[in-house]
Amino acid sequence: MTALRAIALIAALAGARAWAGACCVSSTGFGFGRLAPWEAASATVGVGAAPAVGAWDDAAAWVPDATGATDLELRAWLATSAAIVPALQVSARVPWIVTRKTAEGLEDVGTGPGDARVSVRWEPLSQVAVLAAVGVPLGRSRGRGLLGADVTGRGAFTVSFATSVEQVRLPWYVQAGVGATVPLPDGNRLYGPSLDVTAGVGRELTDGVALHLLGRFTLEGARTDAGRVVPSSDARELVLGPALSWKLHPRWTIEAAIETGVFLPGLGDNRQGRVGLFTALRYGHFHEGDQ
Amino acid sequence: MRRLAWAVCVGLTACGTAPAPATHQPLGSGTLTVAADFDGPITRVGNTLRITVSDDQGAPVAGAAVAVSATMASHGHDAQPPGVRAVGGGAYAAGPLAFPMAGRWAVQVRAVREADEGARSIEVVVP
Repeated sequence: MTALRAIALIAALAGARAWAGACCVSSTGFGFGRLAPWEAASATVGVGAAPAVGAWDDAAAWVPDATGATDLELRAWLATSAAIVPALQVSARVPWIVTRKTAEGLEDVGTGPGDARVSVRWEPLSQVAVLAAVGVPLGRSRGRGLLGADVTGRGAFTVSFATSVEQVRLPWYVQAGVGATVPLPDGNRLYGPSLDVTAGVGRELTDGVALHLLGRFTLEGARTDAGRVVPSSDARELVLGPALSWKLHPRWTIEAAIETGVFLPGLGDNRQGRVGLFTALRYGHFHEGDQ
Repeated sequence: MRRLAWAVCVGLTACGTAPAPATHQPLGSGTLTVAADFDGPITRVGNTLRITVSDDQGAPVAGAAVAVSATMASHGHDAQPPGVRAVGGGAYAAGPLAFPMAGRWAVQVRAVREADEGARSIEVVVP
């Protein structure tokens, strides 16, 4: 039962975290969704804020924002998961994004839905999962404002496949995963495929409270415009973040987390660097006696 | 760990590299010659592009249809196309041109008059 309790904490974490900057929205990321073994369904609502602090240029040099320009992304999301059978779960996530950008006295505010995700998780073996997901481009990929604050998505469907493993040795538990995402064309534009490698370690601090550190490394191939490869458009990014999860009730879990890039030369390429802080509240539904 | 993460994200934002100077590369080989340059240092907003259009004899071309676009190729971003107005003597002004993000941008200028066409691309690094 203690192992199941740890898996429940992993479930809360996995279902809540999915940060991506709207300006350079990642087509990959955390948050495929996860149910504890006794849960029939879950629903998560989250909010977060992520100011940009700079960017890695196309030579992988870190360039901090030094002009006084600001770029703040606020994000709320709804996510839900349901078990078809205990080993097969479906999940969906829909974000809503508000972005405020300022530069030299000009303010540009935009809002709209971000790209949604529908995923399926299958556990053929205990603590081993295979995942498939489709990204649905609900977000706006081309801005209308001068600073492009209303860009909330990439504009392309994506297809992702991933696998993850978990191992529990209470009070510790670890996760690792690898996934690939293939975008479909958006008109003449085709983003490159990407590879994600994730690793996480967590520790149950007290009954129902866990601290988790998760890292993700993403490699993305070059973009193609009108059939021509765009030079220097490949990207990479390393993101790290601690998260604190508190199961305050058998059905309710609250989480707070930080997600940040590592702002050093070479640890990103062609990506904005953001520091994201978010919190989420998750409800896990199960029938009395199933836990 | 949270303190460490903050130290990483706060303490290291002061490092980085200075933007590279702008470079100019001719794009097209049409019968119109297009010259273009910004009227001051590149900034995020409020940039004005000074454009001159001449024919293959070097004579100024008035009445050309001039369009300006800007693309951040590495991210796939496009800037809002600025308005272009003729200022006389084959000269045109395009602005304000705002760049949604700092980084390397390509600014394309295209001029068309009847069957004649010319283009120029300017690469800039936006601070």
